[in-house]
Amino acid sequence: MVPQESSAALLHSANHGGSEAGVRDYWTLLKPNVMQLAVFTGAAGVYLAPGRLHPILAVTTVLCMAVGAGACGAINNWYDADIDKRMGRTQYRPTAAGRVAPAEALSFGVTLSILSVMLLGLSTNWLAALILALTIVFYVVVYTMWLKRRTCQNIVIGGAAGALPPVIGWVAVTGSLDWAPIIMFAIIFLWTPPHFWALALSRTDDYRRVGVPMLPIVVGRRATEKAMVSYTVAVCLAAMALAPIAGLGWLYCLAALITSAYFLLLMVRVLVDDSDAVAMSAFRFSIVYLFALFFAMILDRALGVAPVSVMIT
Amino acid sequence: MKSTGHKNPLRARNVALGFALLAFVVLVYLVTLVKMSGG
Repeated sequence: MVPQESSAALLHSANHGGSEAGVRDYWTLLKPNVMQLAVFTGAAGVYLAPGRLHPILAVTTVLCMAVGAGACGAINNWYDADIDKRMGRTQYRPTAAGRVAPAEALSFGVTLSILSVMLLGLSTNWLAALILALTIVFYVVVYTMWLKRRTCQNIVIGGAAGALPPVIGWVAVTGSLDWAPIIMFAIIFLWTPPHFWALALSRTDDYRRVGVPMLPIVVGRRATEKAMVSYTVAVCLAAMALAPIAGLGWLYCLAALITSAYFLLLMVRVLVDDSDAVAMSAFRFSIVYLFALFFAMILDRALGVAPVSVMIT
Repeated sequence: MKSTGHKNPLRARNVALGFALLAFVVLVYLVTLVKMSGG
């Protein structure tokens, strides 16, 4: 005989997802694309920091950042299931489509959050673990629960969470902060608004339907496009400023100069053309741009290119 | 029991969870070893 509580739970599971969920759904809950960004930029922070971590600890650090980012994704899937199911881009997410019960996504995310913070603290230092914990809390509470549905500055302020992995990586190695990880933070922080607004320009109907006040809905396309150009100029300046501050060489400088110029050109095209197609091409390149910058940082350091500050003097 | 030819998602999930748990334990073990050797 099945106890009454268990049968009620089974019925709930059948009605609210969870019974059909496979491994792939749980993987999707972690938002693998966002995890890639955290892994790549976090690994750059670990690699560029002065001093060396044991390879096992370095891998563990990057893994903790990946799992922490994934946990944010799972909790976001839980909280936003109601609006995700009404948006074209997100309607197939496991919670929105009903394959994973929202409560299950929440418990999955909370469990992963605790494990990633504890493991990072035990394997490196507790300052890095504290920043990872703050990153998760900031993304979930400040961005997802508070800002996302209330202000058009949602992704500007919320972008701080996505910008912290290089700082966590750096602190995991050194145990302290420095200017270089702060500039790396600034690059991702300033890159986030033009990246998301380029997407939002071609998804205004979706966002309007669910009541998320993205900038193009609140202030219009023209003002958004001007803001995108302003943020892009700022991110390009931050990318160039990193070279002398982090002691990077001509390889990084050249890569940053070329990719920044093209990124800025695309944003100006968005302002001039004002079409969804151009906005989407700018959105796609923004991803390439960030990966190219961080790849150039790693490559420059790996090849031991002489720092620009040395070349100038 | 006769196989119906359908994959059981619950079973696949539990196997994946088991492997994830095993990987986590191995990782904690490795980290402990490194920390004990002064890493």
